[in-house]
Amino acid sequence: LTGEIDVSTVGQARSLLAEAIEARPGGVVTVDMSDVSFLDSTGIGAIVSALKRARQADGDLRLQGVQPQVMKVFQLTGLTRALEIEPLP
Amino acid sequence: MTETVLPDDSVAHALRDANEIARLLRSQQFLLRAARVLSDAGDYIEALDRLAAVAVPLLGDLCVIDVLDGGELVRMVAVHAEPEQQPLLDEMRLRYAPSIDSDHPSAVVIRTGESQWSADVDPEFPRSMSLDDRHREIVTTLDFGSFITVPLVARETIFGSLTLIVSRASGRRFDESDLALAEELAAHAAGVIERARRHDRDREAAHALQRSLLPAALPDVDGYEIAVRYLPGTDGAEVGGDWYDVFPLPDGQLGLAIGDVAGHDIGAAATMGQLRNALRAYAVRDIVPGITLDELRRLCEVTDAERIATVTYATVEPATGAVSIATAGHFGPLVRHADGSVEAVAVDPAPPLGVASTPPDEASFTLAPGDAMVLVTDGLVERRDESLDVGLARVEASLAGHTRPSAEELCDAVLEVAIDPGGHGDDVALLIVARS
Repeated sequence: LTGEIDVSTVGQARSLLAEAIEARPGGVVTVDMSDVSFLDSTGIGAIVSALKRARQADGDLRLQGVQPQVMKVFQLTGLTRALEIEPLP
Repeated sequence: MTETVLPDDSVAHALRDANEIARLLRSQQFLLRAARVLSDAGDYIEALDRLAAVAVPLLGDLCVIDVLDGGELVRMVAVHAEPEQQPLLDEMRLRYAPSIDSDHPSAVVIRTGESQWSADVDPEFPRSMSLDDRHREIVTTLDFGSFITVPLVARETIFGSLTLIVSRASGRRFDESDLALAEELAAHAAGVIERARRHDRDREAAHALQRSLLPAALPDVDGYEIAVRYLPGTDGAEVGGDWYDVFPLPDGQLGLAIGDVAGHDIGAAATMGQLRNALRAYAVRDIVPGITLDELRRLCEVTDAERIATVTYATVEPATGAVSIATAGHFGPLVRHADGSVEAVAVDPAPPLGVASTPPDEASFTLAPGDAMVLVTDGLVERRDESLDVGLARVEASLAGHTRPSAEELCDAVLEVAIDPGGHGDDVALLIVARS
């Protein structure tokens, strides 16, 4: 995923995540977040949907290279507890 | 130079055919334009207004749309091509709706579904339809020369009529081809209008459902003042999934909840109602907020799998001001202290409901006399291209300072800064509990 994920771009993010999960049923999908500079509540919704979908298929979702300001959103919404989120080194 | 001489009647035929083709072409162009204008009407009233706007002045000098509502005829729209005649027409529209049982053309069309028209109206005819002297004066001044009234039919139900009129002074008179064009226009417009009306009704139903799901009254708690706000989103005026709840618990504590269900449709409102009830059901078992939310999370895991929901739940012991609070994916509370300072209470949130997780951690603090606890939804702190903490800081700043504000005043202060002047897209809920 790249850029700003908000109301106007969330549809694209949703379909990218869904494709990745469907391509690897039961597998672990790792999302490179290093180019994501902004994420709003609809973006959180997309990540949570993807996580649930992956786990329903006995797979999982991981986030990698999360920028600090986006990390803050994950912390505020408790997602750091629910899935593996690795900050940008 | 040679010249082909055609028999006279052949020329006449060709001319008539050419005129007929040109007329049909104009009609088709008109209908296409009308379809385009009607297609992006935002709601029912706008669809009616647009129908009148395409009809006047091309089809007639005057257009009236009557709609059947609860067995009565309601004159929804009346437009005159001459602006100076419009006030008269408005008066007629507002004061003189024909009775559905009368011989008025609109009533006849709506009862029978058969178009009514006259190429040349007997001046006595509109007068005979008038309900009093003033009405008579108006129709005389408007000087109806020729009229067409066609039914508006959708899903095999006649729901209204479209009337086109040209004034006697204009010299225009309707003919069969005008009637055919009016009927085609009405047939197309009726579908658009009916869809817009259904959409409006669905939206009203969703709003009504949501209002009914928020508490109708707040409990009275000695020594505390509770204020709430809910504002539906303005983007497309769709329904939202933000909610709050305040209720007394069996052990004398006060339960406070605020939450947000993703989506802006009737499904979001319904999910919100389920969550609110489920939360109350767990809460009355006098379990601590962390466990209450954990129960709610487990319920969500086996039910509504697709919707993302966040919630913060707190209990307050009125005698001591002791607060216990936990959150699933939602913001923690802001506390405005008696001295005017504002503190964001750190509550380690569990993820949004429906995502597997360990039970949320509880935070505890004391609401001292003069303190106020503020719970918000993301619509209040989130703006496009602005990170959440900027919005939270803005809300914090709005709470600071005031000298002994009431909970109501604090609500107003928050809304004043938090509502994006460009229109808040998302819906907004706000719950403030102030200890006196």
